[in-house]
Amino acid sequence: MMGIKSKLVERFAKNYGIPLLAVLVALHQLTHRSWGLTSWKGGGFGMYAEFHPVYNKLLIFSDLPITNSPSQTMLPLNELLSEARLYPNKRIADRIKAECKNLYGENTYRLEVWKPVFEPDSCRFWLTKVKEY
Amino acid sequence: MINSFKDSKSTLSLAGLATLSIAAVTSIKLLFENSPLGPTAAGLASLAAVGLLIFTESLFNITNKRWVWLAVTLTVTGYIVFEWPGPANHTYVFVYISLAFALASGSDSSEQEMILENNARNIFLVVMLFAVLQKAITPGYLDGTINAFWMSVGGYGQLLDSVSDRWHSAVVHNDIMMDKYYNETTMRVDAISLVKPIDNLRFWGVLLAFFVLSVELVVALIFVFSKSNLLKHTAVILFVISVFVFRQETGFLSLLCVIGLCGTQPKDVMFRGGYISLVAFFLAMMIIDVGYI
Repeated sequence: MMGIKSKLVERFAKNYGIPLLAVLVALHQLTHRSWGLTSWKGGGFGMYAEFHPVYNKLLIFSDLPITNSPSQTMLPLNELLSEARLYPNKRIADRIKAECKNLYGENTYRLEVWKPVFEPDSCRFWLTKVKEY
Repeated sequence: MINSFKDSKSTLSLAGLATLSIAAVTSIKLLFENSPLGPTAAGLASLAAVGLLIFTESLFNITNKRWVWLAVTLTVTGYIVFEWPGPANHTYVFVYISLAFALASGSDSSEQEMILENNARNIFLVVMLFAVLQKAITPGYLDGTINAFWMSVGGYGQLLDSVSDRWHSAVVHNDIMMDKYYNETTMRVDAISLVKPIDNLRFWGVLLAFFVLSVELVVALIFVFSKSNLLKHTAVILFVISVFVFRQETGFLSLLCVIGLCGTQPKDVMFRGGYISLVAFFLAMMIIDVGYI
């Protein structure tokens, strides 16, 4: 009995284990998508379902004018901005603000996320603010 | 020659070699992305890597070694985990395929064929069903907005937009407009007017949306449930070619060919040849920097 059971489990794992993993990853992506992750990434196979994240625009504002040039390399900030374009959320916004403090000094920073809108009847395109951190 | 081709290579060997070649070319292209050595060096290194893989396979049968596939799976999984959410969706497909090879390698040949065929079929179904679901639940997809946008700015159907002069000039004009809009230093909240590539843009966007969804669904169902090898592999090959016409997704399409290849049997000489030719074509496109890896 145990032998038959373990054979069945083995057969299931060999034939359906990987597709099941793919389903779980895709459901995980859908959960994150509902929190703002682009459908283009994350293993949910939603390419071409929405605008490519390259069309998202991020704006950083500071309360006081920035007069100094960055104190270190901009690479970490650029990497964070790339990630924020794919999945804008509070966690990444806080990291971006912390990196801005590193680069430009103490200040109050604000991050705005703008997403594209297209109107096919008039063929007009614009950006609209969707989030602010 | 055909008989020799038919008998000498197992599905694991053919599909495994195709997968390792895709991995090698993709990795080299990514490694050389910002290299001062330039694209020619990347191309030559890619060709050398593919040659080396074929040579190593003929000597050591590397595609039938479980540790090879586990190492590949772990490397790509590590890339996904550390770079999340950056990696593209087909990187995940690569992991699933490598895992299937890891399961199949080391088994006897009939079990290998069965494991690869079943996993290919089920992975393909999951990919296509989620592709349909994601589009169906996205506001703006079924009403044609997203497709109309792609048609207007040329991110979709690059090979088609040159068919009509009007379409081509609209795409060129809109591309310049979009660049200008995004590069402006002050934030503009007013809209920009793009040029329509065709009349009734929304209608064509909606039509394309339902066409894409139907094709994805039908191809998935045929590949999974059809008993006819002729029908299912013709469907997959036509799907791959038609997607390439719309957008040169060489990375994703080459992996779909590997999935198709895993679903073939030794007697399917024509389809095996078709899939391998397509993978070779996509690898060549990757090497000369055409399309998206």
